[in-house]
Amino acid sequence: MQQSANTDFDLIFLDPATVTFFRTGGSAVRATIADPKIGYERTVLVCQIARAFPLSLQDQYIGLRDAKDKDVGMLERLTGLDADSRKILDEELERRYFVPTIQRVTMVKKEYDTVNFEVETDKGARKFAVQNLKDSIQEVSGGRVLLTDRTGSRYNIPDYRKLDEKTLAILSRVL
Amino acid sequence: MAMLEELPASVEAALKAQRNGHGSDPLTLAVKADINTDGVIGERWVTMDAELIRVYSPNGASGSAAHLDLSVLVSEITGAKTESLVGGGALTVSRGSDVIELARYTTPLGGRMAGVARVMEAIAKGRDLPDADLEEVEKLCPKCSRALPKDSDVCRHCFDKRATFTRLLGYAKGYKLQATIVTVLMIAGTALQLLPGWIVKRLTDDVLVPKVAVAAADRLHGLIYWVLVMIGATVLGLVMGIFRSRLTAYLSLTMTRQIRTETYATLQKLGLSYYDKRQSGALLNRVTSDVNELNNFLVDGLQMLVVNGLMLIGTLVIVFTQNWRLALLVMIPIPLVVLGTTRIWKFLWGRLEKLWNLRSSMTASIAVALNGTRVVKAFAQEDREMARFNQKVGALYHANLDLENWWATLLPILGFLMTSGGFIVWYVGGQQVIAEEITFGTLNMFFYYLGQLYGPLQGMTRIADWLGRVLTSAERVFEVMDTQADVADSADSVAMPNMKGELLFENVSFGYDKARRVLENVDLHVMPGEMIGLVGHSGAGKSTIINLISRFYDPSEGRILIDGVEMKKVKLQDLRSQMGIVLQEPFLFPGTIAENIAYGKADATLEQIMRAAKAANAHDFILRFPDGYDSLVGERGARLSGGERQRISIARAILHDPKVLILDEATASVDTETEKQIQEAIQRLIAGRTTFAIAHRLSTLRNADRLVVIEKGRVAEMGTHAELMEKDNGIFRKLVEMQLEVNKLKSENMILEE
Repeated sequence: MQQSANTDFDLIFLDPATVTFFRTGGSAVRATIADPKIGYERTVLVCQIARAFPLSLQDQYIGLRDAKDKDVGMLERLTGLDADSRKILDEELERRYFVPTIQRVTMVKKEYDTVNFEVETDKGARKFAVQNLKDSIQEVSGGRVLLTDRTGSRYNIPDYRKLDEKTLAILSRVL
Repeated sequence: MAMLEELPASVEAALKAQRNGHGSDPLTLAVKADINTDGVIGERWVTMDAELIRVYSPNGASGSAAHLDLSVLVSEITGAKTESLVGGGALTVSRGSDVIELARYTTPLGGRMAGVARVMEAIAKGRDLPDADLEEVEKLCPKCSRALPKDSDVCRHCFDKRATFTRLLGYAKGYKLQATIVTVLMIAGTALQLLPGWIVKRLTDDVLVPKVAVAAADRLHGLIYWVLVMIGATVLGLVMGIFRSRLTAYLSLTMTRQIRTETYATLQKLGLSYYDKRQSGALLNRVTSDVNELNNFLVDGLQMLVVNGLMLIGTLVIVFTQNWRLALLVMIPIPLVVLGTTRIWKFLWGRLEKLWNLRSSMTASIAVALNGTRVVKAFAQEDREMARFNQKVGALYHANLDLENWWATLLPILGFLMTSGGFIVWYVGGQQVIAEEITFGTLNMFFYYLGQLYGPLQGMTRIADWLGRVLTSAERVFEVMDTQADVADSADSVAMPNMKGELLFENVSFGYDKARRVLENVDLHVMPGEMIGLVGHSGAGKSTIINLISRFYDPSEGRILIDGVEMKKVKLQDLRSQMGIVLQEPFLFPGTIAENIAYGKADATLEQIMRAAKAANAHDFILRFPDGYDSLVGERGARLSGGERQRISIARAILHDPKVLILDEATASVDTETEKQIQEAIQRLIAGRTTFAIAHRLSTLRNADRLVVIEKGRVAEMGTHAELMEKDNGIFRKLVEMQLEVNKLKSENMILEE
């Protein structure tokens, strides 16, 4: 018999086929896990779902934690998860990461140390201000850039080189 | 209580219909969230009355009622909180073991929603409603609704630039005579600089190419005369320039000094809450670079502005009175020059900025490599660091090359624009000379003034920018100066030269910001000379209690009495001079050990200093130093160990002789042997003083008369060590048992290692 692993100091990769997510009457997510690696069927009353590498990997290494932030286990890949559970997981990830992707910049204006943006994103039109651009911009890879506005909201730019000329001129000073 | 936003008509209508007459009680809450049910930017409304929490999605266009997404019975909710998510958060209520999400919102609404959750939580738990308003979403300028800088309320677009400028110049008030002389010298200097043009005309027309025949000897005399006049004018201008610059330097530096001292004085006076809201870096910026900016402008910019302005006006007046038609023609390239200068500078500026950024990034990576040398070598990553650095150098190289190329191309173009006026003068003026409409001297004079025109013009286009920047700096500095200290003496402050040290907390609540309470309803009565140990998890509120005792902050609600007098009413100087504090990481000022010990009592005798050091178990190690009590400490001075610094700070507190003493983790970061020595020193220090001690190691609090256990901002347990240990399931008892466990593990390991 396989010895059950301990999440206190072991990283446990759960078999997605053994993990089921439910919605409770409210909006919390409940999970049951029947993976033999944790030795018994377990129900996590309030299960928190988060990406381990939110910037670089979308559907891999998804970490599960209980209401007290204690590690429950990790899903390396999502294949094998049943359709309902997958839907709930996607909803939860969508809910947790509100990072609009900028599709088009409709207005950009630099005033003093602030750059004002008006943009169209996949999550609707947004107006925001970035202060101290140099420290608010993060290059991820291959032209992908994350902008953080003055309130801490983040915006994803899939490829800054494809932006309009004016925005490009402003951004390339600090990239 | 006003946490109500104005509801849109559709929500208003829906709410009215659903409440249907009954429940005419006013709403407790009405707030807008900005993520809709589809998870994109939109609107949702959360309302709360005595009976129900309702969440609506407005139907956009007017008329049709909003959709009721969700309703929760107020009587059923057991709590409320905000869940922080990436890029925003969610407002949730709990119903039994279930959690219900009311609405999601983006980060700007975070503070406001925290306040909303607090109100809901208070209602759910049946507590008194916190007295709070809806928090401002984002700091915007009330006039132009531009975003305000984080650490300042000055809108760089709307502030009254003229008033700021006047106020800045107001610093010259005490130096009216000097200021007048400078002004006179500026005007006279400009006039002198304009004189040569006129001389050129006279020289050409009267001496070099006279219209009527003049004897050669007279022409030579004339030449000598005019050259001498020119030399005289130049020398006079030079002398006046020297005086002017010296006087200006004196004036502007005096003004800057005054501004610097005033700013620093304000910063010293301000309460800690001012510093909490601002990053110390930004503040440092105010006192250094903002003031430097002012200094540079006062020394150079102001002069440049006035002189260039006068030159421009003077030149224009002269050329127009001499020949207005030619003058008009000379004006033609001016818009081009102004436009060209601004455009080219803007263009180059972007590239310069990029260059600077890359340069600082390269410098930073050198610094990282140097600081991390041990790690780089230990992990054998020299090659990778090299590659990383090469990449940075490459980027810098390309940016630099790009800039230089543009520079080399654009500057001559700008030069051409500037000289293009000359071609017009040659052609049109030449025609007029041929037609004998003007003299050759007038033409010559025009060339001279042309040279005088474009320089100041270019200067003026740059100075507009500079002035804007300087006025912003000035306004930011003035903003600091104008800040009122929130912890300060009032007119009815009472003196308390001899404190006994009795402290009484009456229902004290406190939060560093409105959205979050750190302390709630704390009652505590401490007798003079009593030692109180403050115990609790980190973040429970221990340090906050200490901050309130030191009166770094005033309580949000309730009051603190010292010897029966409300602390707010006691003179700050009297209060603080009878309080002492020993911190976990004692701060030593640059100076000698003796000076540091005597920091709170500058008139202490050397004997008193040594007595204090002896009592603090510091005397022995101080004498071991080659320079003894004269040893320099602080930034450039000798390196002291944590324990040594700690004992010096205890000596400082002993000499200060406070009535109320605060020990904040005083023995946290030292080894066992040193701890024993410090413990001894502390025992001597606390005798006869009201003492509050925070300690991580609970064993060090064994001598406390009473222990106060703080849990989530409230007093959870209170009593002697023994009393608290007897409590089944007591928080303190659990903490002690946990530490014993840890110690046991540690000692077992030690045995194993041996």
